[in-house]
This record gives sequence, C-alpha cells and structure tokens, in this order.
Amino acid sequence: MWSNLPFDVLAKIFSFLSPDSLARARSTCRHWNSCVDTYPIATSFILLSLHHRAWFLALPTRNRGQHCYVHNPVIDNWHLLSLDFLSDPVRPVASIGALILVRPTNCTVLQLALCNPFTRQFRYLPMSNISRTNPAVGVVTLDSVQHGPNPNFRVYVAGGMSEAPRGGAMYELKLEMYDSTDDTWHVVGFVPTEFAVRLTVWTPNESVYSNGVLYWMTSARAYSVMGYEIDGHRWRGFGVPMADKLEFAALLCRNGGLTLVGGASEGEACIWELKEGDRWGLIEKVPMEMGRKLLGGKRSWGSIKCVGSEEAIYLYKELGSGMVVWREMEEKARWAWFWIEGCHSIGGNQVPNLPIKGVFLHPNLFPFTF
Amino acid sequence: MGSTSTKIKLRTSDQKVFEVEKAVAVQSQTIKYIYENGCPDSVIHVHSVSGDILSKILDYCKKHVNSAAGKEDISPEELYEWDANFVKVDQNTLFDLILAANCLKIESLLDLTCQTVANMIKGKRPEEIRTTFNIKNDYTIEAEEAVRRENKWAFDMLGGVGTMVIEELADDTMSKCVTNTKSRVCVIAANQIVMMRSISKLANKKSIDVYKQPQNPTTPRIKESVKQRNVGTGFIELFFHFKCKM
Repeated sequence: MWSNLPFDVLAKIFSFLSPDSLARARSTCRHWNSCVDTYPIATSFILLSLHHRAWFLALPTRNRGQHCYVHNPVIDNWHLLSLDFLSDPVRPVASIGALILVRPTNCTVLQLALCNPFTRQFRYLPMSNISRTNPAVGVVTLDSVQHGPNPNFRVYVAGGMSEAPRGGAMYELKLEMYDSTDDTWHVVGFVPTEFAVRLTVWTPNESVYSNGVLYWMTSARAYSVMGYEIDGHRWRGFGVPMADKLEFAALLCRNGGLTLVGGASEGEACIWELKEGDRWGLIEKVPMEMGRKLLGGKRSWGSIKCVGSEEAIYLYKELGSGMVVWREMEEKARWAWFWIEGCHSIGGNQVPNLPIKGVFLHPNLFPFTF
Repeated sequence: MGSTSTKIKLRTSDQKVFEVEKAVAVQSQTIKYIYENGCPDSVIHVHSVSGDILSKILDYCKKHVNSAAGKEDISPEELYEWDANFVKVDQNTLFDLILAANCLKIESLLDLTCQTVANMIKGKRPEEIRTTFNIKNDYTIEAEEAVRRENKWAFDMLGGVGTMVIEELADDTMSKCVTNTKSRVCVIAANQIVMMRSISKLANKKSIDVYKQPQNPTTPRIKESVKQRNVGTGFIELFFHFKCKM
C-alpha cells in the first residue's frame, strides 16, 4: 500500500519532512528512494517553517577534506557529514541555495567548483578566460526562493593578478562573469585600478549581493566597503561606522538589504543596516550576556566570525564555542536572539574544537544535474 | 443568491449517488473543471473514489466552505482542531483519502493528509517506518548498506536503537516515546524544544524532570512531569504531560 504511492503524492508527503527525516525515509524501501532521486520535491512554498530553514555548515579551516559539521535547526543537533567524495581539500566561497561554491586550496590560480555535501556531488566549473590568482568572487543567485537542486546563478570575478604581456604579473582589470544558464565565462566590464588592488590584496573571497549591487568588505583596518552596480557597471566605495575600531566586521544580506555586523574592543557587537546615501543606521546590538558567552572570557572580538541567511544571522568562533543567533520568528517582522550549543560530540564520539568557516545551505537530497 | 442553491450529483465507484451544493463540490478542482466544461445537469462520475471516502471528503469540504463563508461560527483554532480530528482515522482510510484528494485535486485536504503521514515518518528510523506502514524492505543487503552509507549523517544522532522524535504536540497532550536508555530524546512541542538530558541516569527513577530550553535566556525554566515505565531489555516508555506556557 504505502510503498506503491505514486511519486507526485509521495513527493508531497516528503516535502513536509526535514532533510534528516527524508534521508532516513529513503532508506525504507526502493520505491521511496527512487522518488527522492527522480522526483524533485518542492520545498519553496514552506520556506520559513521550522523544517525548511537554512542549515549552518561548519567547514574546518585546517585538516580540510575529511568531514564537515552541520547544525540541524529542527532538533538543535549537530550532524557529521563526510567529505570523502572530494578529491582535493576545498575552501567555501559562497552558498547558492542547496549548493556551495568552493575553491580547491591547493591551487594558486582561481578554480571554482559546485558542491552538494548531502548528495556527495562535486563538479568543477569551466576555467575562466583569464587565469588569475587571488581575485575577489561574487555570486548572484537568479531564482528567487526556489532552493532547488539546479539553481541558476552568476559568478563575478574581479581583481586578482594575471600574467602581464611581457612577463611578470599585473593587476587584472577585466571583470569576468560566469553564467550557469550557458555554462560559459564572459568579460562584462572593467575594474578601476584602485579597486582592483583592494579586491586582490585586502578582500577575502566573499561578497554580498543586495538590490542589484555586489558588495565586498576590505578586511584591513580601517574597514571599508566596495560596491559594484551590475547593470550600470559602476564602482563605488564607502565607509563603515567605527571603521578603525572594529575588531571584526562582516557584510551580509538581511531582508534584502545590506547589513553590517561588527564588534569593537571593550564594547558590544552591533548590527547596522545600509540606508539611503550609503549611510548606516544602527538596528540592533548583540545582547551582552550572549556576547560574553561567545567571547569565552576574552575581551577581543578579533576571533569572531559572522555569516547570514535570509532569515538569520549567526556569530560564531570555533566548532565547540557555541553560536549567537539572531533569527526571524514564525510570526514575521519579529527577530529574536538565541544561543546554540557548540558541537562537542556526535554519536557518542568526541569532536575536537576546530577552527571553522561557516556557510548556510538549504539541504537538498535531489542530485544536481549540471 | 441563485448559485448557492445549485446542486451537483456525484456518482462514486460503488454506484452511490451524492447530491451536494455546488459551492461544496467545486472545492475539488477536478469536479469544478468537469462541471464548467461538461454537462452541468447530468451526474459527474468520480470513478476512483468509493462512497465512504467521498462522504468523508464532502464533510471536509462542507466544513471548510461554511467556515470561509461565515455560515458557521468557528474560529481558525477550532477549524484546525476539527481538521486534526478529521485525520484521526485508520491507515487504510488515510491512504484512500490521500489518493482521493490527489485525484479530485483538493489542495488543502491533500496538504492536511500528507502532513499527517509526514508526522508519522518524522524522527523514525527506517525499521520503525517500515513497521508503522507495513512496508516490505526490498533492498538487497548491499543496496541497503550503500544507501545508509550515503546518508550516514542522518543516522548519527540516533545513537542506538529505537529513538523517536515527537513533533508538534499541542498543549496539554499526553504523548508517548520509546527509547533506549542510552540516548537523548528531543521533543519539540509547539516550536519550543524540550530536551531531555542524559536519560541513561534515569532508569531507576519513577518520574523525571523535563526542562524547557528557554527561547530567551531571561525566561524562567518550566518543569514538567514525566512518567516512565520499563518495557524490558533496556527500553523505557515515556509518557509526557505538557503544559506549554508561551
């Protein structure tokens, strides 16, 4: 009876399951497994419900290539996810719905790849037209709220150093874009020299897309922001509050708007939103208790990192430190603070307190077909 | 006002005829389409649905139409409760309701019945799912090992045999969970996560304290009572009695 349900009905039942429940359900019988493999399960319509929130994926920054750790927000539990299907250790660049854009760490020239750690898939993107080292990378997801297995997206690569015509290296001024719809790279514009230098030397490979603009934060004191307006091909730079006092600063997109999270020594961590005229407005402060708990007795915010999804902001440190979370509640327009316990053990086994880099992911068990 | 008294005749697979108000019948997109594109006066055949099932479905449609039209004074919470009781049926009936809701294209009923089945799957291990739904394990040993290996991450929190996660309990509910004494049990009630810590220490107690994990660090923790019963060989059956204060 139940093992013969038509796929469309079964897929509907599965759409109400959280990713870990689905992973166990598919191990029940072959028919149910086939359904997960061959019939895309639409989760877009229940995006903010408990079972379809984005999951925080923690990738160890050292000892790469073995495992990553993923936090299940439904039951507040950590899972161990094996990365043994990766041939080379990788570093995350950005998340694209259900996938992560990564770059292999053993390669100086930029190479990018797509990875779905739940379906254990890894696929290199074609190499860009211009070979460059250390550029800044920006990602724009084109589907709005699908989080399906095959999202449409664009990757922008700016800055970096490439080979000069007469030997040696030079700052690369051509801006390249990869379009997933035709699986090709195109040169789409230029980067003014001063921005190219900053993008190469002072920008970790992360960007935030908001309202048609790709933003990068320079990581040196004093912090500042660069923005590339995609349609107008315009570059601009502007400052951030307490730019020379911040010990950590991260850009993210919240409710569609550019948001800055930063902490200054001896003070609280704050959250600002970008307003008209490139000015910042303070919207929230991290509760003192939680901030102190995360700092673990230290006074400096320097080791704190931050990452965000549409509906949450996570401040974290190492794998076992725990996380401070600011999250949108089920009744929208209300955000609340939570503490998430760090990962100390999984399945009875101790987990070392590793330094990590976090990304958000919407787990999808349906294999991508790029 | 004329259209509200229009009636539609429906004939089921077992030749039973139902006469229903148009507003109720067209909750089914299939019936709506046939009525609008076919012959409005003759009888519409719903071949794949039996009389018993159609009767239940029409009860559902009538309740929802009346509630939406304000004909019945029923609050959204009461309607939600009515729906919850509507799906408290045996598995065969639930199965038939799902297929009928799918075939008749009644979106809200399909969502309700599918969510009910999903709730029966959540948190269970594959063996437990098979028992619940009487599904035969048709994997070869190698194939099953391969699937488990690929999805290994989802099994690591269960840490043993027989841990169950109960989700979405209503306030003041008695609920049951079977677990072995070494694992942790997570119960999610109305979006509040109630976590039981190291129940391996609780084997000899008559009742255990369940602590509610506070949403906000400043809200006080609420203790509830839990009764437990030994059901043999390292398994305990836990009965939860909740009063969730929001």
